[in-house]
Amino acid sequence: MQLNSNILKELEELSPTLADIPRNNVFNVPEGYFESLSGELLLKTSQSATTYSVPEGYFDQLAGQILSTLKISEQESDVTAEILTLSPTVAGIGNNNVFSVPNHYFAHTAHQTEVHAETVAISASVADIGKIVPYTVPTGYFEQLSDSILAKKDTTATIVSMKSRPFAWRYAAAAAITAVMAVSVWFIMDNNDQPTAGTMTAAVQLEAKKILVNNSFEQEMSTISDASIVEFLENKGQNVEAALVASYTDVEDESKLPDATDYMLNENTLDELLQTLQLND
Amino acid sequence: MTTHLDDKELLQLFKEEATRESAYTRIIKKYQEKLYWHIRRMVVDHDDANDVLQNMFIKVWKNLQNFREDSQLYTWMYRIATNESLTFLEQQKKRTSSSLSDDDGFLSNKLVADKDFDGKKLEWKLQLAIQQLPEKQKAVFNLRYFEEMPYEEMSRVLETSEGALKASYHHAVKKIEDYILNR
Repeated sequence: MQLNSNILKELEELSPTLADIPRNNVFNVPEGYFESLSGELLLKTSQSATTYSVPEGYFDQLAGQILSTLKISEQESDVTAEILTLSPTVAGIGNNNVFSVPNHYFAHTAHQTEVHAETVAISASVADIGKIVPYTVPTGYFEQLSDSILAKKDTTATIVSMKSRPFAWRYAAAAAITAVMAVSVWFIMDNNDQPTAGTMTAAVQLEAKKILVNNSFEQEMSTISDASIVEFLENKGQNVEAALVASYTDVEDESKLPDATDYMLNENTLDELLQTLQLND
Repeated sequence: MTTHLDDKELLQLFKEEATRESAYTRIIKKYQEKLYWHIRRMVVDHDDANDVLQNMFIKVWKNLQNFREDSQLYTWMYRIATNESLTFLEQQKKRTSSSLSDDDGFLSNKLVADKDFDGKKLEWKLQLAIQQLPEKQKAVFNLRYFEEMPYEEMSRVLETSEGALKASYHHAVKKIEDYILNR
């Protein structure tokens, strides 16, 4: 179906989306509807009034209804007769349903439909996504869970995760690196002395100074890989393992941790922290 | 064969010293998966979900004797699980905001880091969209969309009025739709 070009133009101005939708007819009529329409209309107009009436289409469906009623009754008696022939004992038991469903099962199903309908009304696209949760759990996790909880139930402390905390690890590493850098940079900033040959190149010192002046140490740390941090700490003779152990400590009160400047002012800060946590040698 | 006991029977068994542990084990087994998935959808990472779930069940052990049966055990445990998840996320946010890598999208990043992540699959995109919601709205969406919890029950879990929950769910769905269609 084509629209008049003026109407189409008008519609395009009002809503290009609507204008783009094909104007195909989505409705249909019963087969032969138009062929019989005139005859039906004629019949209706010539009908005389009657005292009694029957529901519309009653006579059309009557024969079918009688036949199906007969069939059902025949089938039922066939089945009963069959089972009686096969086993009068079984036939005598009856066919009452012995199975049960969980309480409120059907109410729950109705509720599920209701929730889905509610979501469809807000957004059909979201409702269509379905409820698949793509996450997985380790094999046997649920089987072992209750034992694992039972073993811990009498503990007073909350569960402390033993998984790696990237933040804590980097915090410890940053602290160690800052401590290593601190002495040299302190020299540059406050004493304006030339860097000591062999301890740090001029370029590195310049970069370190820039980082400290711009206060961008945290940002810079996030760009360095863990492996590089470990390598650097090892080269500088730092206790990497202790720092790693510290990184597994779930620090509840972070205010108790030394400030970054503490590491700048005192190179023993990290050792003291590890001692406080009783993690140092 | 294990007989299936309803919550009232389980609570009764829990009150008896001799059957307390077995009742507790049964409660864990009965609800662990539902609660795990509720928590997991909130905190994303399995290890974090496991920590929160275990803490949550330990709180159940410590407080179940004082549990008043005027509310349902199931609703009460959902409330603890939700509160524990929200507290956990709050603590994590505090950590990351003061951390060296200061990353606001830490949950989305965790999601993307999942070994099974497939950004082309709609179900993963849905999870990413959910992570954009404020935490409490996320809980509302998950409880309604995935767990099909009636508002009346959700109102007891989240201690929020039914009207506010309906509005919150409506906004959440709209935000998710927008994310799905426009990203």
